[in-house]
Amino acid sequence: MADEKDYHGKQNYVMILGVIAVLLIGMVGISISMTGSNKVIGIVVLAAIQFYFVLTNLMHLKYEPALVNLVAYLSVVFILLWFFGVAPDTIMIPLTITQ
Amino acid sequence: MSDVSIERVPKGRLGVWFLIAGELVIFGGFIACYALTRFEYPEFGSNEAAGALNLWVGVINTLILLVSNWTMVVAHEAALEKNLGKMKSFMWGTIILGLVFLAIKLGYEWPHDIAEGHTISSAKAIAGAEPGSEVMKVSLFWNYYFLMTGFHGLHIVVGSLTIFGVIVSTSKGENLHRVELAGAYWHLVELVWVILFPMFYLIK
Repeated sequence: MADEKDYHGKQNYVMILGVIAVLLIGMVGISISMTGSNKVIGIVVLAAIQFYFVLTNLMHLKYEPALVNLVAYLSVVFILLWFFGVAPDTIMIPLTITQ
Repeated sequence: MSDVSIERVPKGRLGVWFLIAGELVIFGGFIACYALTRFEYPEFGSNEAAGALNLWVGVINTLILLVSNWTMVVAHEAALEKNLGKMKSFMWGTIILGLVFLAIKLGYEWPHDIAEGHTISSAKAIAGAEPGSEVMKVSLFWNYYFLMTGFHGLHIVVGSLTIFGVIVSTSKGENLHRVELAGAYWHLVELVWVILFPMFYLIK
């Protein structure tokens, strides 16, 4: 098995966690200060960035070979396909859900 | 038998990623169902539903989970340096922070919600209510909330037990790669929470 030190690069975890914390503050700020569809979109975008940061940096997915990336991202793609496949049959998305 | 699979991925690592992918599908299914229902029912954002949750308790719990992720990555770095003392200390720190998260969730938040009459079935609240009424829709929010945060909490318990098992199994400096594998599972708990937290506490 490859040496673990060779397998991964050196990361600045304090900076990574700092970015996640800043995104958290941003989401809370948006939640408090905004209303309507802008609020929902803003929070979803920041949450998606947080999700990507955790997956790639904390879980080291960016260092993993293509096979592991395929396994991880396929699960996310599967859920997105399911969601957007089912959504038209169940809802009309008005994007005014907080009003 | 070789411990390396195709593409030279260690089998243990590949196995953990298959587990994580499976967990993502399960949580993703819950989250997608919630989102589909949320679009249909604006009542989920009312003061009787998401509005009844304490935002700041959620923020504190999110920060606790974030710090626990930091302690876990420090433990992994210590394992790479073969610094067993530091590695164990930070893994214990991760377990303790996970238990603090659970203590706040199960010892403060849930009892507070239940005292307000919100339960996974909301049986008392919906007794005699018309199908499709606001009361029924609000009770569905609490159904999702208890189910998903409970399932997430269960993963914190499993993650803590896994880390404890790794502390024991690496005590003699062997199998140190397990620290990263346990860490990947622990980060999954954070990965799911970064979606659950805004979903329940922020989008009102």
